Amino acid sequence: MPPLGGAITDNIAVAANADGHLEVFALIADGSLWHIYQTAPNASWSGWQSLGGSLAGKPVVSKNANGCLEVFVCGADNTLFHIGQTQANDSSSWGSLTSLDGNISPYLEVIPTADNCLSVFARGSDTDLHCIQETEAGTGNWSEWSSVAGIYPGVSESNLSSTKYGYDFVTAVTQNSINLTMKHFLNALEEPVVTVCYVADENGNPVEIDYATLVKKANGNDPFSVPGDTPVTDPRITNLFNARFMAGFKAQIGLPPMPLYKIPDIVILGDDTSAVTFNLMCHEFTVVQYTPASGYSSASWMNVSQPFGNPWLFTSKVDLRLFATAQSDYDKLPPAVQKQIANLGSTAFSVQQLLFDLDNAALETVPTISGVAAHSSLYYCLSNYFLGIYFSTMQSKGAPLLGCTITQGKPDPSTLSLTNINMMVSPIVGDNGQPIPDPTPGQTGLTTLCYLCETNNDAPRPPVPFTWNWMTAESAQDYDGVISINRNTFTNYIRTQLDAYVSGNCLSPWVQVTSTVGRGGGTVTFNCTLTPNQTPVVTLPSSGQTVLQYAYSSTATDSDYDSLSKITVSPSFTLSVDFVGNTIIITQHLLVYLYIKDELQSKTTPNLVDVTITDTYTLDIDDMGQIMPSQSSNKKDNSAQLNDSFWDNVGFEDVVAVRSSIAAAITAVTSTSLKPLPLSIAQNFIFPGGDTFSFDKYIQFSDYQDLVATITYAAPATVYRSNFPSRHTATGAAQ
Amino acid sequence: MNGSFYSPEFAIARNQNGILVAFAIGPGFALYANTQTLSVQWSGWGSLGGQCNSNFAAYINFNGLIELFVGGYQDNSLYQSTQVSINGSFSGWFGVGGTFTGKPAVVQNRNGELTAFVKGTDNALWYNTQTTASVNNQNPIWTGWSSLGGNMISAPIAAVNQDGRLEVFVTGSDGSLHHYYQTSTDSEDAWECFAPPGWSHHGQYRRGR
Repeated sequence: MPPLGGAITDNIAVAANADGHLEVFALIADGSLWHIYQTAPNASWSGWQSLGGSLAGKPVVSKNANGCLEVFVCGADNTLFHIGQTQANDSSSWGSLTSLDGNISPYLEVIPTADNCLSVFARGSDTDLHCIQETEAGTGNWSEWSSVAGIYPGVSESNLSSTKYGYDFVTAVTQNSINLTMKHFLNALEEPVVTVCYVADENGNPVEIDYATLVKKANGNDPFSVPGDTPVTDPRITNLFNARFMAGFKAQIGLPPMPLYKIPDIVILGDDTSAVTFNLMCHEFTVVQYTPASGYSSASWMNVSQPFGNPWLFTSKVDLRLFATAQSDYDKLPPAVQKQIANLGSTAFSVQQLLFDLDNAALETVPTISGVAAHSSLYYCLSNYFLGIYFSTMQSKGAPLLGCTITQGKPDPSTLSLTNINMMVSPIVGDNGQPIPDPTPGQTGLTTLCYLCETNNDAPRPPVPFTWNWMTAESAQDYDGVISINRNTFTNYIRTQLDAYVSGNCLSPWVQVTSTVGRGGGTVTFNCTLTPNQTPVVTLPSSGQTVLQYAYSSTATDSDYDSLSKITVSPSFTLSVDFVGNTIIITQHLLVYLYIKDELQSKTTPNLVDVTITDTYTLDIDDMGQIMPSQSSNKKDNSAQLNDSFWDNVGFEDVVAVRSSIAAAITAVTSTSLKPLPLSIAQNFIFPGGDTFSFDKYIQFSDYQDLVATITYAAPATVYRSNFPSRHTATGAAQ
Repeated sequence: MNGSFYSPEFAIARNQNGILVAFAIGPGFALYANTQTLSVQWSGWGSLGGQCNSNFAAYINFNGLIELFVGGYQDNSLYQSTQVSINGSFSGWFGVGGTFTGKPAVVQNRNGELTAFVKGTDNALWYNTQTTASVNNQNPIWTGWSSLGGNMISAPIAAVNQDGRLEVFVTGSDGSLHHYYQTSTDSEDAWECFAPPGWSHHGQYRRGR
């Protein structure tokens, strides 16, 4: 018999075995784990037996999927230990204590998940809650530790209400997600084939000619159908020569026919918004050129297409600064084109729109070519005609290359009406808030493109680099980006929902006391009315979890000198709104104080009304971006009861008038205007971007009360090619 | 509220839909809840209000609703809140009275009634049975607090025997394990304190009311 008397600590646990027999576990003073059990269900108890170990803290017990008890307890080394029965209901047969690592403090909880995997929770040394769970029920295989913080660092740091920033909201998406989504978009894109041909004018200089006209002039000969190895004496070439044909190209913007994962990135954000790298690629590209004989060189005919698996890449730097500054290329564009680029409709954040912006020749530098041998005649042909004449024509018009088009979306259904948009590249920053020098490819992929947005015609604000990361390696596994709504923007919205309700509880009192003198004594009459819809004082604290406060108070007094009577009524109402975690907490407090006196006595009454209502909205969000809150309401009523004994206590035996008029006024207030707030206060809010993104259930106030939701690109709306894999099933694999 | 929990204790409960919910004390000594969204993703901490000390527990009742039991921050008495609907939000806080320390132990008898066992401020074992759960945000009905006596150093732990009798275990001030069990499931008063063979044991606890 082990000497347990006096040695058992307060760290004890009990569990029922699968057959119902109970088993108790206890840590003793030397840190070892002991157990004792009923020898059969409801029966007497075994002796104590040691399971060993050097442990600290309260054990927790659960049954695994096989019905075996599993005990978890924090080790003296602050790792998690566990030990399990080797067979269900066999309390005499245990495995050995094994560590599951971690760096935890002694308080644990264990719970089986819906699929019967044991989940153990512990507070980490960082004080956050952490979780480890079985990867498959009953197998004894365990996951890595994960955090239950539920809040990503970038999300908690969002501080748009800082005077430095001030944007009404920001949409931030990673470079990786842009590329993946844009590739899927381009893969499915059915843009028209653009055909451009040039003939020689009277001076021998190239001038563009309509394709149909050229074919007609060349007696029905199509230059693109004449193969590259055709002898120049061929009558088709002679006909084209007679039509003064010089060169032509036929191209369709899209993805080259090769596996998606081999296709280079389309956008490389870098760290300079004025020089974002854009790789223009085509689904097909054919160049035809006739070079007449001159000097010692004979005439030649070229017809070359982009080869399979080795696409031609046209790389340019694009200026995405849409903020009106004298040096930005955007500022030089005609207003109609500016409007197309800074699209404010429901597709404002779509990859279609971004592609359109990137592909606009006016914002681009002249592209460089890769995939084509330098100094080859193909290279010269592409340089002269495609990047030379064609590009400069498009640039002068502010038009996109190769007929890239967008369909302007319908107005965004969001509650926030977008009135200005700007773009900013936000590279990964280090602890000092500055971009990391020489980022790794992984960090480069987490660079976000930030849409800086204004609503309600607020003045646009200049781009200022963010000192936090919107996305982390961890969050990028689940999401493409975030939308963060400025604390002040969301507070203003909540305020529009509350103003009318609040003024309904702001009560202006009117009181009157009169007396009549008669034989044998007089009659004193008290009157009171409370008029709602007064204007409260509104405070908008600039920091802290309280974002909005209303306060109203007023006092009315009347005295009657004949009867030495007096009445004072003071109603006050306060309402405050707090943003905490994923909750909005609205607390309202109505207080009505009454003082009443006649010639004989005065009495300070209890508060006639003292009601506090706290409404807590726990936020959830549907995939279209509408807030779906759940609400709990808590009412605390410390009002004096308006019954007979109350009026007796006041000291007036015959104050019928007081009773009727004051009670009626009070009842009118408390029964109609003061009530729990409706769900719609939070539920009517719709995030911007719902046509482009799907929202992923995650919605949270940052440490600075910005409302942040995570987003994932929805499959871009377009005509899909057959066999197009959905956005989420094709991650880098060959189609 | 990363890093700003007010106490190391927390509780975990599973909704009927399988979604886990974590509870902890945060700013303002309110109870905060954090709901799982994906297997390793959580919604973030949101306040359930209240003013709680570190002694709290979560329990799933007969109807599949999570019931929360917490100690009041100011008065150390028991407060209780219930989910208003399956997987749903929580009611306001209802006072159950009593004064206690340590985590309450909650078990459910065969009738679906919850009994809360606590270590009273007198270090004796106290219990109170909820005969009707909270429905429609109404205050649940409790039988009232009774003492089973004793002088314990641990918070109580409780379990249900295979035949339905409740059994409670505590570490006594003598450093040995003591238990109290119902002698029959029919009567909530029928409790005995018992030292089984082989248990080191100093002094029998007397039960009392």
